[in-house]
Amino acid sequence: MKQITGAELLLQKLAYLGVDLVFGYPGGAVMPLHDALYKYQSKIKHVLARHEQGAVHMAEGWARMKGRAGVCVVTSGPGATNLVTGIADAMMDSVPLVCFTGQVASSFIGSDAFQETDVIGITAPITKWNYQITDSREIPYIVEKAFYIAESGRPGPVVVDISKDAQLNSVSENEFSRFDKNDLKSYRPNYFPNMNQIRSAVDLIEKSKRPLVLVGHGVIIAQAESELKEFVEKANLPFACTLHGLSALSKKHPNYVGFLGMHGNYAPNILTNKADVLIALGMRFDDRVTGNLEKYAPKAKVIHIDIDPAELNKNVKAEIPIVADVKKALQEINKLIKSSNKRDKWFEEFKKGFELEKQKVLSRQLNNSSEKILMAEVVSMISDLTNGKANIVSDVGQHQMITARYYEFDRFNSWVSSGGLGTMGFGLPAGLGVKLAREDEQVVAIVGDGGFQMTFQELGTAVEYNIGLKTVVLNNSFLGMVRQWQELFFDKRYAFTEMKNPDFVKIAQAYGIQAQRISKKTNLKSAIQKMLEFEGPYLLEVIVEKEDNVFPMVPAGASLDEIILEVSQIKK
Amino acid sequence: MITFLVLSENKPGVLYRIADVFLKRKINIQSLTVAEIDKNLSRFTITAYCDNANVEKVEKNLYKIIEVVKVTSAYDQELIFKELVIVKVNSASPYAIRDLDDLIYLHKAEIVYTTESAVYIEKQGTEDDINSFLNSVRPYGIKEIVRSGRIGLLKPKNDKKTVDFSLNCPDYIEMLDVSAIKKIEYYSKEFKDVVSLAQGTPASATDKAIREAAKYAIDKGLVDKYTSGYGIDQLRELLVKKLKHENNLPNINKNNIIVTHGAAEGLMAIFLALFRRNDEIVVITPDYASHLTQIRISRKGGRPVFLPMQIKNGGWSFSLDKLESIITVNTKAILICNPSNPTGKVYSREELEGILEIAQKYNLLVITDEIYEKFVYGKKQHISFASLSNAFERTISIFGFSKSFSMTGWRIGYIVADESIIKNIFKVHDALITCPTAVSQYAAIAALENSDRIVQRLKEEYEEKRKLCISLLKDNPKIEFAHPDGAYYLFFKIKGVDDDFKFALRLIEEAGVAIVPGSAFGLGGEGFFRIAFCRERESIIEGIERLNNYLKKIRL
Repeated sequence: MKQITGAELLLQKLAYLGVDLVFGYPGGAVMPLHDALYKYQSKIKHVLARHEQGAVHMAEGWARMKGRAGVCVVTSGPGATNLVTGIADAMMDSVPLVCFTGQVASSFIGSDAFQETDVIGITAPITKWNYQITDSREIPYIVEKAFYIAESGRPGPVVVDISKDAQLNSVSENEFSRFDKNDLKSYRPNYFPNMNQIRSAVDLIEKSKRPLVLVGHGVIIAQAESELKEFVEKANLPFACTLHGLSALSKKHPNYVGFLGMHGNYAPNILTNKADVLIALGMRFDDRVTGNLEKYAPKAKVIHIDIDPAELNKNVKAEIPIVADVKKALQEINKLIKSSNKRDKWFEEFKKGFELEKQKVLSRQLNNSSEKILMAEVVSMISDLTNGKANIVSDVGQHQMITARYYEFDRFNSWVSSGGLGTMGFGLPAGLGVKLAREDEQVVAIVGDGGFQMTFQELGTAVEYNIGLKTVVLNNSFLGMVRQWQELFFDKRYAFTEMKNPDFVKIAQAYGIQAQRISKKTNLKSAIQKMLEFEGPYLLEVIVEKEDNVFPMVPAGASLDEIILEVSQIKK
Repeated sequence: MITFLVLSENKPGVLYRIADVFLKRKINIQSLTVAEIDKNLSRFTITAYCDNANVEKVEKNLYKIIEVVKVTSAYDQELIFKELVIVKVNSASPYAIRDLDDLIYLHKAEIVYTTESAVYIEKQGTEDDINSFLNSVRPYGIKEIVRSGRIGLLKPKNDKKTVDFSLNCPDYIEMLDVSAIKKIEYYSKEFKDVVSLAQGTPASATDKAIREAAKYAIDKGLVDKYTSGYGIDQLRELLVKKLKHENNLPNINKNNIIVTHGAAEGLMAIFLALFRRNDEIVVITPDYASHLTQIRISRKGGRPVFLPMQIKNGGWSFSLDKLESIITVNTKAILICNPSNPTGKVYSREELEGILEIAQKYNLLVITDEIYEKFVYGKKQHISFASLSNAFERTISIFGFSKSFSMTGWRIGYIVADESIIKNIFKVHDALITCPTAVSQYAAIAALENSDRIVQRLKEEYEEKRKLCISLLKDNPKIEFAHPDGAYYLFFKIKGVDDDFKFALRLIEEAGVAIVPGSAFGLGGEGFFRIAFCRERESIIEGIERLNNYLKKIRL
């Protein structure tokens, strides 16, 4: 029988599983794998990042677009530890990843060998599953198992650590067992809802006078756009989106009432506490969404649908908890629910709330007469010029909230950001991953000057692989979100948040990337147009108002009722 | 405390992930045990203090671990749980070894290994059981200790006993068995045609004169109200007279007496009033089983110290040297039963003086249960311990009407002691019963007024039954005994019997006779059995005949 190395066996398996793109960085303990990748170039493309953190964020961006596991291949020791931030990010945001980390030869494990580190120990708390392979014969089975676990149920990251000898040793091509998901004794994600619970939910929804649908990331992961559309239309329900729920259904949908959370829209936040029924779909009641839990939605009965049973009753007590895939659950609900035309008054309240926000916030942000550019104006302009149809990636901070608020997402799953972990430096590499997944579509990464500098070495990757990502750096020379809190809650003591930045245009140009800087409103539209029309990677630096604030805001620890619209409302 | 029961695949790293679920919530794991229970399947038992909100989160997040198959959390009342401890205890002194044996017996522990200076003791039970055991061996010096941590299984959900009140019961009470005598008596009633010679219930009725006096007292309305807690004056005055003349206590007055609800209540009041938890009471055994139980209860599980007797030269005897050797700084009293139940031993003056000498030397109290004082046979004489010179100040004597006058149902006994002791016993006695039953006290007065006649008649009856018993048993080659000099029991060994309790059950089932196994009476009673010859003549004949025939039939 034909003998092949463990590394080749792994590549065979990846190809078999349909993997055609991996993100990686070579190193001593993973050389056999990269050597095999070299041989398999025609089947599996390897993207060389400039730092392992870049590789893992690219894999995340790619995975979120594709709904399949992103793959990383890195070496032992520092290669593996550099993945940690991205793995934790993927764990928080339910992103499927399979990360292969090289490991020293099994005979050296535990001897503090060069570039040896306990990857399994380090990543156990931040992975859905991990495993160390020390025998080549385990490879096919474990690889298949890793992908199954990463992609099924609530997706998440999996780390497979492979000792160098397991990569090198030869095994006969067919000497292995196939993975069968029934081998897993207990991990059996429950996709189908309990029908009794569904009937109770339908009953409760039909009786409700002031219902509110909370749309989370689970709706996107479950690919449940049309089910959600049918549900909110048939039952005539207002829906609001969490940060990751944005783009599950177009913002232009008449039933869309806004974005939830600390910097979300005024109406859905304040009206959560007036709702009589909350229908939470694939979301986890993060503290950024609930504010003070004790004062959260006091009048509401909660229907909570999530595939992860651990999320039910974790933060908010659910009257009707349903463990299921959101798509399947909505299909069942849609079969039973009667159409309704009531609730005009309830919708009216959202409109009133929107008007108030428009008057207090939107008009100031979007129709500002000052020469200086505000972040909202940039995002709004991009939104207008792309008609809400571009894929948008953000980093973390003020610009992230601004983007979530002002970009009019009109296409399903067209928004990627780091929500749970809030990883600065995420935007650029994730954007590259998104662009690689959607090469024919417009992808714009909107980042701040702080986060950009954490991973901007990945401009190199963009150039090398000619990845046509449009990067917009909103430069206020501040770590803006922290500065906003310092202004509001720390008596304007700007402790280490102001930054002396390099010339980002020159940096881009040094990488061979087309770039432009603007600081005047008059140039905004043309500059963005130019960027969007450009073929290939492009960087637009926008010098924005230095001390702009994001409003509305639910101050940390406050109830949603205490949402504020302007600085003057801050309680000192 | 909450217990998590986790079933998981036996794979590397699972423990790490399980521990992390607790770690990241800053919950300290109190105990964790794990072992493979089936091919590639491990079972964890984890205990932790964890607020309710966290229990569900921990449970769900444990379940999220891919390898975990099943997770349950449970409170103690929903669980069957145990822990194992092995403790290495200093046993350098011979006293320690003897005491430890006693403790090990009491706590149902086991010696698993012995060296010259230490014993390795294994004990299983709940954490409370184990802590209680460890507390009792701690004074001997624990050299090393290892505990397994809890293992637990869920009780069935439909089990109606979801709230198990026995868990709220102190372990030293839970550990107590109902007296073997009563057990045998109850067990014998489950079978048809069993002759019981178990409990010492006299066959004779209470004398008519006594019954009439009681009726009269009732009719006259003398018994409707509480009496003095000490007992009515008239009764105590008669008791003073009796004690002076019959027990040779010339200096007694009624302030030395408390009339009690039978001797049993008196004894309990004494134990409760006079002993701290760590005080030791030396009991010369075999001895009345309730003494041992009462000591354990009153001292919250604190043990009696046994001095076992042997049959020597045809009588039960003990060594004064040995008695002295087991006295420790904690010893506070010596308890004797004279005449002795179950051995029938009547203490000689020399023996009593020997005990007194030791009691004086170490400043000990002597508790003397003289309930059988009237039943002494042949040339033997009953001597009250308190009548020895200089003994009264340290003696607490218990007497009663149950046996002497065949009045077991009337429940009248009395304590005699120095006033300084009486005053404290009275506090407990008052709390226990307020006052002895009034009608029984009037009956007791009548008993004392007719004492000579009634006692004489009973004594003759028992004298005759004793002879009968001895004659029926003496020719049985499998039986050995010392002739009882007092009380109304015959305590005999059946050769070849190791487990006397099991054999007693066998006798009920197969021979149709109920007698009490000797191990119920403490050390020295193992392999012995007790017959109460106070019972009906026909029963005695039939019972012993059944026993003899059965022993003839079987091979031991």
